[in-house]
Amino acid sequence: MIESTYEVSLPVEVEHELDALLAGWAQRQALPVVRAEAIRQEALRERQLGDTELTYEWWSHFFAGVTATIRRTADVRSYLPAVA
Amino acid sequence: MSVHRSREERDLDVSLFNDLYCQHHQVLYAYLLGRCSNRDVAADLLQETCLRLWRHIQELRIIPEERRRYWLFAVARNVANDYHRRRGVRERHEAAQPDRDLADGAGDSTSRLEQAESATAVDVAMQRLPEDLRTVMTLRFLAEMTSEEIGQALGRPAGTVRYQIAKARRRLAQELHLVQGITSEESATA
Repeated sequence: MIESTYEVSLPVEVEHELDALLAGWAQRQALPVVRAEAIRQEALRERQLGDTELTYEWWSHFFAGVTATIRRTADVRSYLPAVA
Repeated sequence: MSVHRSREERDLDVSLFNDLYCQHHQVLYAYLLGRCSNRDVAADLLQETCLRLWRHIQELRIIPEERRRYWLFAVARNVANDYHRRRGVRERHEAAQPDRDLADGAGDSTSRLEQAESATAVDVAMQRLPEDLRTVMTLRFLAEMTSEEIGQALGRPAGTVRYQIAKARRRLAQELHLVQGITSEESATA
């Protein structure tokens, strides 16, 4: 019964001391507000670059046009020997 | 046919992103810090998480608000896993250099004030915790999440989280010499 080992809690004064140490640790490790804001701004900047991207709809239309052109070109090649 | 997304759509995206960032960046950072135990790396991984959030911002609109945090945790988990994978590959080629950030200055504290020494000792003790225990501790004490919230975020029962917190606290107390002795069962599971 490993779990039962942990049912024995720490002495109250140790719990309090540990809580105080952990509160200090949390303060030291917290993400500074300035850094958090810099991360948010950087993400927004990256996205603004992404906003210049063309939409899926546009690319879909574009590739449909390219495919049709390739197909027509292939058709012309099949006529060429007959023309020659 | 729209060539670019409309200004209104983009404004909605920015607004949603800002809301999500304000609500969740601290818990995501706490999670990532627990996973990598280095503040700078955790901040970088948070930024990577934000970029992935941006790529899927429109999907998030259809996710119920109460589920969004767990979607973000899933993204952060993938980002942290990718980091560990890259680090593992790098360490196979280089000498292992453990992240020292949580324990900055741990080796040269002989002349420090008592307070600074105890702060360093806590940092070192936290860093020495296994990753799964450290992660629940950062979520509990840095993000101030409840056991239930941590359990939902990590996909484990709240009872398991409470057990892990108790286990981590006991380890820390021993590491910091607040209590004496360690049972053979704890040693076996350490």
